Amino acid sequence: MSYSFLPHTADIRVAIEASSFEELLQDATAVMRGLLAGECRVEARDERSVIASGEDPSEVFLGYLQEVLYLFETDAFLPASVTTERFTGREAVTRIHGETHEAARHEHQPEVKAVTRHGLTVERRTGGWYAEVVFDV
Amino acid sequence: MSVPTKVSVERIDEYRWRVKRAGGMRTEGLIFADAELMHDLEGDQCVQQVVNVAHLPGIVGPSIAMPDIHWGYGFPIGGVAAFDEKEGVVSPGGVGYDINCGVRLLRTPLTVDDVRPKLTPLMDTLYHTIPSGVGSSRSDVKLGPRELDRVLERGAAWTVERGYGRERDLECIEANGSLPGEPDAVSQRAKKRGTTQLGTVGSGNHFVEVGYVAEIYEDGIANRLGLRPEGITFFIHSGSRGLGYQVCDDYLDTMVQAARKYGIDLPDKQLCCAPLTSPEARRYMGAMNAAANYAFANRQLMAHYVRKALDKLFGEDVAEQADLVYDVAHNIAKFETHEVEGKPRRVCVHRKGATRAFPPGHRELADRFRDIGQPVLIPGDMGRYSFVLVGTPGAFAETFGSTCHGAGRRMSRHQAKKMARSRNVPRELEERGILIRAASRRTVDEEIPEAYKDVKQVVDVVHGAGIGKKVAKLVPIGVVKG
Repeated sequence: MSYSFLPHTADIRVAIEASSFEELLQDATAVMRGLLAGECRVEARDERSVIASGEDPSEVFLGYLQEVLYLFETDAFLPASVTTERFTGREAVTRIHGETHEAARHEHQPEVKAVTRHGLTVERRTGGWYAEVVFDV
Repeated sequence: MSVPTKVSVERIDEYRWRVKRAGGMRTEGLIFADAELMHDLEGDQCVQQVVNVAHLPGIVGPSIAMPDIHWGYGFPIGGVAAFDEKEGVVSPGGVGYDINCGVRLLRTPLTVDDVRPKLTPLMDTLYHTIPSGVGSSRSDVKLGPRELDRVLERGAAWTVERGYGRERDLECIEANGSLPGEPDAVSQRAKKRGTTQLGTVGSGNHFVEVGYVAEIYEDGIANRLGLRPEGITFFIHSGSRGLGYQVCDDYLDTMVQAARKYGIDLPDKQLCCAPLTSPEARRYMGAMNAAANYAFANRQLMAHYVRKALDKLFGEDVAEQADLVYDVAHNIAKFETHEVEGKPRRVCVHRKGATRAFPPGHRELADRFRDIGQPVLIPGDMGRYSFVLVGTPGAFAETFGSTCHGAGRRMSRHQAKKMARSRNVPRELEERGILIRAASRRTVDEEIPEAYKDVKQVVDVVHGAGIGKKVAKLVPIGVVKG
């Protein structure tokens, strides 16, 4: 797992390096888990199916993260990990494992409003994939 | 697209800086700042974002930035840009995710001495009756689909019709708290996010703040606004919550396609946009206005619960006299008529982290403000002060009737958390007479006063440049944070 937080004055900017697109989604899920639940443990007690599609891998990546955020806001579903069943370049079929947010167990975090396209980078690099994404908080 | 990688900035005068036109820029940039604020921007990408906005089709006048400018997504926060109604574009990135994020200010007949002995129960009551924090929702104001559509159509007027306010409140809200919203243009996903969040603060830099009038700069205007020395005020800062964020997300998807369809070359995908004459733009404006109405209703409902808290702790008379000073949006795009090169021209003004500041005499102002200008509310950080200003002819002439919106961040959230880690920020503030109630310790840490520019410095720039006039300074004594 390899991600790092890059400098940004107001929002959260993250860079992720992974050996495959599937691992990129796994690392992005870990980033989201941290933004939504802090350092609290999130159990894989339940799962949600998410199909993210777009004209290129960056739109697929963005669509996936937007769906994770939507599930949290409308269903209080916290992600623990993800299994990517299929990735075609224009579509990712995934199962997100996680559980329902419980105020007593999961620390309150500042709200993540959106996953933005600002400076969004998702590209193949030697030995794997690289992504950069800014979350509006 | 030719985007200059080296931005050339030259000083015009004490408060103005020109970003020279280069590459594919259709106009120059104009930044309001003093030398120190400008120095602070080094290493921040916001000046590049001023340049990026200058590339958009149909831009009229310069790409403008206020002294609270900081790095945003697409547009900078603190950005203002106007686009010709026929040749120009509308960009959801020029409004932001939190559509009609804004502030409202209530004044009361109470003084600091009246409130200090009851500050703890007052803050506890506000904290428990106005839900805050991530995912906060209300069980007492759950909207069915038809009621939600009425909110999206009517804005603050819906709230008043339901007994959550007074008719008089409406004339003290920008656009009377109601824009031509189109509920049908708002997706079911967005509506689902909006069902239970009306009347909630949210998180991040949003707040409900109890303060008092600490200094008055314009006696006559302050008196007209009901701001007396030591008088207790309530500041509410929030927006359209998840519904607005989803509207923005939905239409960014639409605008990515539209930009390609209409052959608009973009320096940043987050600036995706559509011609104002296109069906995509018309639909976005309808949805954005609907989300703006949700935000007006949201702040109106929170003001109702402030009045309920006053009723409970200080009696019905006090609650009855808690009047709205004003309510302004600071994330919005609106059609307005401005004089450009000596002629009236209808433009779509994008204000992203900027406040409308119409001058005395403007016909859109209610009679009560016609001779003093539109009240402008500028919140600072939770440890120092906030300001009330009024709009000026200078703002109307130079910035499409706009001014700054707040302090503006100067420190990343990561830096702020690191700085706050070994401290007890709520206790520090309490020792300075400011009581904090917050859903999340992390929010308080990220929002430490040091994370923001000194809002006085920001306000002094707009006052000095003549794009706003200082009226009063408010100092906090209690803050509810998300």
